[in-house]
Amino acid sequence: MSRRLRDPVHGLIVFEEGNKIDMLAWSLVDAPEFQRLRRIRQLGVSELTFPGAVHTRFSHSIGVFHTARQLVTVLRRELTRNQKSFDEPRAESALVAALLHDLGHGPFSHTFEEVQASREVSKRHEKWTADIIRNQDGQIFPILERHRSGLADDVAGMLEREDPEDIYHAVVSSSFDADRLDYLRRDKLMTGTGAGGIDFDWLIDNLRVAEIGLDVPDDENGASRRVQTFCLTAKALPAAEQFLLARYTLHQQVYFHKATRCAEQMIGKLLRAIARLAASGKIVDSNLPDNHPLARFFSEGGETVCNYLALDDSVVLGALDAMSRATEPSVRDLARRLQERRLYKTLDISEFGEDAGKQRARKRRIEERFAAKITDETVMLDEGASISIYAEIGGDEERMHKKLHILDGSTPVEISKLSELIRSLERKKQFTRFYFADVADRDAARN
Amino acid sequence: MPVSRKPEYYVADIIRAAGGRLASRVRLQKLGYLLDQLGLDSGFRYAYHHYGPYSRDLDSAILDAEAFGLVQEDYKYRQSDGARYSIFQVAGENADFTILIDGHLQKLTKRLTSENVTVLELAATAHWLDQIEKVPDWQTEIRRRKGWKTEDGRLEKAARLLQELGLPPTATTG
Repeated sequence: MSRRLRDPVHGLIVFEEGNKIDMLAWSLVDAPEFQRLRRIRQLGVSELTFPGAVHTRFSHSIGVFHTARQLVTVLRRELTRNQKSFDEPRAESALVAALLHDLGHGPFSHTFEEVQASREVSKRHEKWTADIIRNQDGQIFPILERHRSGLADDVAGMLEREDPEDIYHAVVSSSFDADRLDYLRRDKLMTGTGAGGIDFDWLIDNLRVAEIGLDVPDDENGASRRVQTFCLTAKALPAAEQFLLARYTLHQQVYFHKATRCAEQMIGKLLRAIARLAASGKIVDSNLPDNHPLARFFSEGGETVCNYLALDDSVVLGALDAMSRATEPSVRDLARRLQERRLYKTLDISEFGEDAGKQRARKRRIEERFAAKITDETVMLDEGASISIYAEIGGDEERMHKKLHILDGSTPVEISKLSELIRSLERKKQFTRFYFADVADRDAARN
Repeated sequence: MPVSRKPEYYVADIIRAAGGRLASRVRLQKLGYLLDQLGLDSGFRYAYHHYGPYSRDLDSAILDAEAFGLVQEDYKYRQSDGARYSIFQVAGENADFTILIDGHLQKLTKRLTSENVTVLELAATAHWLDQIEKVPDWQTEIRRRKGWKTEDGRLEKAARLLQELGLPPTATTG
């Protein structure tokens, strides 16, 4: 019997009984590693700012699978048009990778990753995803291997590889990958921001396959490494501009909203405090039991796949009540504040006017004046949010394969070469904010 | 903080030592990372991103350097596909070094600037995998993550560069 799900973005999503990949996907959805994604919100604490944004990585991942099927249909059409063969097993790997791409997210996703990075533990969610897929003691691995020997490693490899290998890889990693095509529409819908317009059907209809250069540009010469990816016809240029603008607006208004960023910083501070207590054998000071999933994970040698999978948003949020009675003062204070949504008070340096020199000088003054409080984190500096038309969270530059290419005749060129609108938004803009535990400090910093 | 240790001066001095002009944000970041391993001591913190070790502190220092008029950033475009890249230039070309007063570090900066940006990325990543992530087999891991970038002799070139600089993993294993 076919399986059906109702989805606010895509409508009816059907897993056809006679389709082996659909049935494989359905069995993966039932695995506990995938069900865990029901307990990780797609936008973390954005719900504190946009109350409707309670959608999870579970619904997003299913939406990504559904979108990936549409992209594979485009791919089959384009390869046939170009008289190239279609690699069925590779397409299968891409579809499964689309479904499983978020398995490795921790609680509050990027916030948790930042906590780990600040503890000098460098393991990104992509690596956790690959480890979970390859985990022979888990339920994902045997399902994949029963379908096809070596599928688990194919899928994990596709997700941990930083640059795309071929056009099948573009389904999960390109400027038009299934992840991006789902989350932009879903986040826009669920936050209720109505930010920008995404003309999805027209974009999909105008998708073509062409080769782009992958090398980092650092001179006027061409790229030596070329790979096939999705590009758009010139007819879709206006829709592509709107697509990028929608993405820009979501970053500006939703992902980097000052209250959301502030709450993320506070959760990060709380988790770092728990990690310190667990590592020093003082978890009792947090009022969490020794066997709490956070205590287990942050204890020495505790960073196993099994312990990681025991962590999710609900584990952290469910622990706030206990932590609000901690003997350790900062744990107690942060837990109470987060329970009651009493956030630190924000000062954005854009308050000091448009002039960059003036903004940076005032920032420097605040850093010097509140140096001790910045060290003890009762004043927190946030420089982690930057946007440009190719915004992403951190990193040197947007990756070449994530840049949007339009066919100029038959040659793919980066959209900014053809669009003045996009070119005007290329310059990177950083949101620089301070969050103050004490409102009096914030007011003093303004003067 | 003393004037000379302000983060923007590290940025201006790296670009000055590079010859007053430096192409690509990725190159500037990898230079910062490798120079820090060689004794620059900037205090910048690094995390792993798409192009290997990356420092948000350095990124912020670039903004400071631009805002305070020490450095100017312009964009250029690759002819074939219009891909954009940054060109950084120091504002006062005759100004003295404030951080990189060590002639050896200046020479190393110049040397690294001449290297292919992907080779720099691989060298910085190999060092990171071995020293920070402490992966047991950095060569397998770097091939797994970086794929095609490790081909055509680039990984070997990165290994030779680290050896020349006296940095692990290749300097210790010879």
